[in-house]
Amino acid sequence: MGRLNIFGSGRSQSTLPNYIILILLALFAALPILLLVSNSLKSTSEIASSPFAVPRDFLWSNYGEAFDKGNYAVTIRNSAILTISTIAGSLTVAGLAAYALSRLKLKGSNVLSFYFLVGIGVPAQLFIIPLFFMWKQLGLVNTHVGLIIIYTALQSPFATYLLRSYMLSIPEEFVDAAKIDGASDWQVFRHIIAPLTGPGFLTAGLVIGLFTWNEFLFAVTFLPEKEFKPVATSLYAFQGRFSRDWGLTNAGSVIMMAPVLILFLALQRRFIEGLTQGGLKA
Amino acid sequence: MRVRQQIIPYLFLLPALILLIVFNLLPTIATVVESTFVISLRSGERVFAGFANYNRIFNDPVFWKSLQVTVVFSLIVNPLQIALALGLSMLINQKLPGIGIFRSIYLLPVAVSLNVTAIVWRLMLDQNTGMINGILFNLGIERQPFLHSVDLALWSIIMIASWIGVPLWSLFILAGLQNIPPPVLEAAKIDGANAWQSFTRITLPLLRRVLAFVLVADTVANFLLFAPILLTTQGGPQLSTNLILYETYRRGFVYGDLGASAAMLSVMLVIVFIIVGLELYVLRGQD
Repeated sequence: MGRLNIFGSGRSQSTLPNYIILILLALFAALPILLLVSNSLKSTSEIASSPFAVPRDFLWSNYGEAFDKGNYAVTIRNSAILTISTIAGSLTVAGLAAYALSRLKLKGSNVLSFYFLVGIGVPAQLFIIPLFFMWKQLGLVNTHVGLIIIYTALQSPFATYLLRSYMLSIPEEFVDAAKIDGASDWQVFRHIIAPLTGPGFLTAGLVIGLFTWNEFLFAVTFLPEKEFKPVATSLYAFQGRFSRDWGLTNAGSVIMMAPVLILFLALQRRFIEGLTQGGLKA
Repeated sequence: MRVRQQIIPYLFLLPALILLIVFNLLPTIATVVESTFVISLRSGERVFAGFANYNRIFNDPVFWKSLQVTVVFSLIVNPLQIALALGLSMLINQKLPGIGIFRSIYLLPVAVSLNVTAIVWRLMLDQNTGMINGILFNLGIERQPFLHSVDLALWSIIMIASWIGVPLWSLFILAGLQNIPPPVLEAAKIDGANAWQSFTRITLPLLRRVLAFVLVADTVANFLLFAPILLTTQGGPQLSTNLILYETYRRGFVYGDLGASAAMLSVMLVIVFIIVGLELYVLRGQD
């Protein structure tokens, strides 16, 4: 008799149907990942003959081989450079902008806030071709700096939007007290607003980090040279070169996926809290 | 001194504004300008051609087919993802024993990149060795060419995109749900509202702002879907998954037809501006 219980908080009905749905959905979400990990420990012929059985002899050597052939020592470093720099760049730019939009007396602040929303809605993917030729002329193709600037521009509007909501919820009294004591706008930002916005920076940083580590379209276009490639696109090249070796492709995918997956799982709760407190106020 | 004080706020904003101008305003202008030039076959130079590129793409069945596929795809994938994301977020917002574990499992795909996703699903959907067909076969259903049939390929893309999209957007909706104070829902219950009534009259209206944001972001993300196409179907079979950004990319970078590519991008820009404008209008409507 128990019926689906997601609409209310009543405890009267049985929770069994809920758990059945929960388990089915969990399978849908987790099976592809489990399959990836399991197949990463098989030979290609074993994947072909029994693609969803538990690995017969746990071919851990796939990982070493994938790591060498996929040039991961270089690509992981490249991805780390891109990701960390983009997080730092975007949070700086967005933090300053969010402070100006939320706290300072700015003529046209509403119009500007609106423009940032448009910036989220009209992302740079649409401009990839003119950007590519602009960057080529400036000598920024095949440089990490060039791509970091693009990623920073791509991520700043959303981060600004999120951080602005956050800063709006900081009580006015904190700022007023500091101003009476003679603090400048910069000091207020540096010593009061920025520290109190910590969870917001964490959430925004996680979104930016996830995006950058996994980004594909810009990376494949702007960093064609092998020595600059991040994991996301080297995996693609690697997949082409050893397309028959599914064991290696899978191991390579796991190597790419593992760091962000673990980080995301570890910070998941704080991440949702950050989004909740930000409240996405328009 | 007064002037200096008035300038300071704008200095805080300056880096972000410069980025917005360089990456939004200038490329918009550059794209529209580029769309009016062609490379002359005789001299190899760029010459002004007015609406020639637009004429070309508007008379090109491949462009129309691509636009049609994108519209069909969007009309299915956006409502589907948002409805499922809403359901999923309500499911994991319940206070049930062990719900934390389920929540973590559902959110796993969010951290997986689209290209790893494409690799995994290409394996799972393979006609002969894929897991899905293995299950179908055991249920006595014929093996399906998921990525190689005109009828199924777009649906496969929709599923691949949703595997990440649904948990991603449910994160935002979950944050919105947690912002609803429990006493509000309890009060409704005391007043005799049933579960469906309190969902439609309280939860949904209070989620409007978050839902509007998710709607904008989801629409744009799906309009610009690229990596799964490149990594699984490459637009095929018979252009049935040839989404508009993929077609634009192919024209520009594979065929080197920058004029046509820029004209398509300009058309896409107009579409995105209209959609985002409409959706932002919804966002503003509630203040």
